[in-house]
Amino acid sequence: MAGIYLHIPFCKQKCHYCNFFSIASLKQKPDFLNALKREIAIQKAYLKNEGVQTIYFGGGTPSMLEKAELNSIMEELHKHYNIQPDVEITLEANPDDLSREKLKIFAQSAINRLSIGIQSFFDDDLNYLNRVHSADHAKTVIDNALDAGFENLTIDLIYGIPTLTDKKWQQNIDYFLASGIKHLSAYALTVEPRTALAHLINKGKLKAVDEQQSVRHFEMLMQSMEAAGFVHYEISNFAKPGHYSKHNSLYWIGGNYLGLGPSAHSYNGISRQWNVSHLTKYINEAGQSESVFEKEELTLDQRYDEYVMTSLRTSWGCDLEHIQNAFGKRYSQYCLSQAQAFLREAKIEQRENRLFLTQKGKLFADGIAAELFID
Amino acid sequence: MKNTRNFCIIAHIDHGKSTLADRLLQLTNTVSERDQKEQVLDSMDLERERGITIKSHAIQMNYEKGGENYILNLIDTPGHVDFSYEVSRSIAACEGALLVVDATQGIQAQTISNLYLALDHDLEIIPVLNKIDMESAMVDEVEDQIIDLIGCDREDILRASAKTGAGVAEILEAIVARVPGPVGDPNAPLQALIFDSVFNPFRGIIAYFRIMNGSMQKGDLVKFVATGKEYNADEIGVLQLKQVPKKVMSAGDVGYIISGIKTSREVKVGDTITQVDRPCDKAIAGFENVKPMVFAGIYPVDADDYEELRASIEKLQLNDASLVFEPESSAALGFGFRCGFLGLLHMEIIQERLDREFDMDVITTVPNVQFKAYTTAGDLIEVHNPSGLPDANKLDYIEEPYIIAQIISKSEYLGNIMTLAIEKRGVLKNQVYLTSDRVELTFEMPLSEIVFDFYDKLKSISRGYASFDYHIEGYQRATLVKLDILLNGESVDALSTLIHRDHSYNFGRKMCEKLKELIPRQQYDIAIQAAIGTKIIARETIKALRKDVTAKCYGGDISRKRKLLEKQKKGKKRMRQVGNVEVPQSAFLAVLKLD
Repeated sequence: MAGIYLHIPFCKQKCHYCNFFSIASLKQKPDFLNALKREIAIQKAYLKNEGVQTIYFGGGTPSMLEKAELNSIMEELHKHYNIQPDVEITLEANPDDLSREKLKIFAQSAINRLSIGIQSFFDDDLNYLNRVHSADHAKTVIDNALDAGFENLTIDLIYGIPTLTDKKWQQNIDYFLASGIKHLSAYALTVEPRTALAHLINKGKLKAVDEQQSVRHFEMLMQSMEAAGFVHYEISNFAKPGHYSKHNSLYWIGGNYLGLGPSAHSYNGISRQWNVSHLTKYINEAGQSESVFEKEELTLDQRYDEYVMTSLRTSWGCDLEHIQNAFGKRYSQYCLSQAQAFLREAKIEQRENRLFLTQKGKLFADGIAAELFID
Repeated sequence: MKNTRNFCIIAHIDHGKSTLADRLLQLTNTVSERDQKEQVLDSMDLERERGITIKSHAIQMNYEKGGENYILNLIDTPGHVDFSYEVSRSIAACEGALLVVDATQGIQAQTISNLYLALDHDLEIIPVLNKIDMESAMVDEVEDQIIDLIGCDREDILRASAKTGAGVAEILEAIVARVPGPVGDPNAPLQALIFDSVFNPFRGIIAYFRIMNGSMQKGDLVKFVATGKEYNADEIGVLQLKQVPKKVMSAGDVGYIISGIKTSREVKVGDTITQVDRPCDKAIAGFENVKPMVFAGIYPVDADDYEELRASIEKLQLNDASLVFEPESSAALGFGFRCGFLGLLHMEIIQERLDREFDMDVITTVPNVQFKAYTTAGDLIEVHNPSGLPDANKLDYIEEPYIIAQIISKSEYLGNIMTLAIEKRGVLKNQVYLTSDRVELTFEMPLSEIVFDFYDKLKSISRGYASFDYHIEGYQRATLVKLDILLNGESVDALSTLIHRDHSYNFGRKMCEKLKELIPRQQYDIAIQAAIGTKIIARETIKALRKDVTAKCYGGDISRKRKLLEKQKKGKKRMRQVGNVEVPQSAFLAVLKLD
């Protein structure tokens, strides 16, 4: 299974918390699209003609693309890659771009999955995050998307926002559950360095994030989603059985993926490479020069570390048998022996030959993974 | 003997001593162009990088003037306060000194104290104004300072630029013309002053000496007076760029002796060499057994490296007799060594050499001075470590070492410096205006107060202008208390300090605050307490980590996060376990970073 990620680096305005690469001007959009198509063509061998089962338009804000632009990108992809008939094609979208008309256009296009950045159904939270849309509009957009025929729909919510009380967070969860949507990505608000949010908190202009609140919200989330029949299939992802995101899963099961566009990452099982996070450089170099990306070969230890780190976050767990087959017995034994302390503390549980994080363990996924890393 | 000139150079750091020395060597053809590495005399890499001379050296030059051939011995002196005893011995081996002053900066504290040492030994002083080629040179003003200081005539001052070579030939002429030749009786019993020693892996310890009286022959049976040890003079000779063996050397000569000595402790700077057959009546005056004044624990980061650390320190000691050490153990840090240093720079140098030359990863504890504890039974205990203090009920009183500190600064910073020195328990002893805007202050203050951060603070409050020098003055009674740091109720021996009672509350509070910054959050709440005896005087709490999980883990996040966690794990491996608390290495030096 392989996938393609396309980074569309344009936004109407930057959200305070966001550290993804994007630009709030559309001036270079035509040049960017040309460069992207060049890159699509030149990288055609990267996936070795493996069947592509997922294509993901991320960003930035890919919903700022016009129908013709989307179609021409898709056409180019079909020309060079082995796209499977059941391919999942996701488009990230901001509510403010999703008019009734636009939704209709997307519904008629190749796009068959929509990921809407709702974040909260309350205006004060959206305000704190510096989002463009309003809470009312977010609700309307969900109804319209369902009306337009998007069966396969997911939304993003953010918890741990200082303005988001426990009661409001529960209301957000309940609103989501009532909508009938079968997939949710819910992220703890994280203050990334060098973001507006970090700066404003530092200056005392925005309230700081409270860890206790974030922990409470996470626990509320896990409880409500489980009760509603959702599978917590990754730390920040919940889905009804059969509605997991193919694309997200690809990252966590170690599948191959090709990333196109500035700052996009690619992985082929042995090495990882990433494009420049600079639009003009990307436009000048994509498809013309190898200098558009940097590359690192992963050692066996590093690949093991990544497998442990990502697999522990999922409902499939960390498979000791897979470790033994892929890395060797030394690794599987090491992994199990390092896990003992967490098994005792009930942060990890073992079922058959797999290790899983318990609810308590999920709060400490990073530290636990690090302990299981090779020294 | 009448054509021999023994001289040294007195200068502040960066005033151009080493560059000038290089020029003298060039001009006398002692080094060929090809051999000319910059600053030949500073042979340790560390010395070259820091631009300071740590160990002193000596070199002989041949010089012809007016049809006469002269032998010039340049005896180099270390340029830092920690080594002032060594400086005094180098000076004692000379008849003259070049007083080198940077024309852009003027006279500094250290120059003055070394100058006084030279005047005490009746050296002929040749003042040299260096860096006259610089735009910012204040020729007249700095000359005024020199005239005020040594009472010479303006014409006596030589103007030079070691960098361009201007005026260097005149310096050589002045050395011959003004520095007297050595006096001494070549027929008297042998008296040779040891002013330095170096370690050679093939030949053992090589001592550098100046013969004051008598003569020495290869093969003589000699005796080192202070240690009482006897040796065969297997090889003697003079120090050119390489060692040149000689059969006989006599009064006025400067050279080296190789006699199969294995440990550096047998060769004491300032000791007298004489002949066993015909010993001198008395040793050369001024010998002192140098005692370390600053102590700190040095521990291997990885406990398995203990023996390797011991071997490394032993090797360092081979050419650094002033370094002392003894095994020590700490509940927090395991097995290590208590090391004694001449001062803070000396300590830093040892740390750096352990790292560079031996690739040793070490934790150094907070340094402290040597205290004298008197028990109620009337015994004197030398305390090198706060944990070595006798129990309170057996302790009568404590004495701590005091220094005389000389500070020279622009007068506009006078107020700041006074405040700082008084805060550090300093008492003003003297205040002299060197010129209308340069003032020299003399304070009496406890050594322990400069061990932490005095020098850095002095530099910052005077915008780098103030220069500082000190010498030990003796011991005084002090009101000291032992301040302990507890982590979750467990005392961390490596963080204990002896501190003046008046400073203890403030200090304890700052320590707790700093440790709160340096110790990462862990699974449990961590209580950090400062205590005097059983009394808690300050407390901070590090809240338990409730959550440690990345929200987003897609494409690029994966490698970013892996790298971050790998780094975290490495750091954690280097931490020390104290009870149930993991303490990073930086915490053990927290006290040095208090504001």
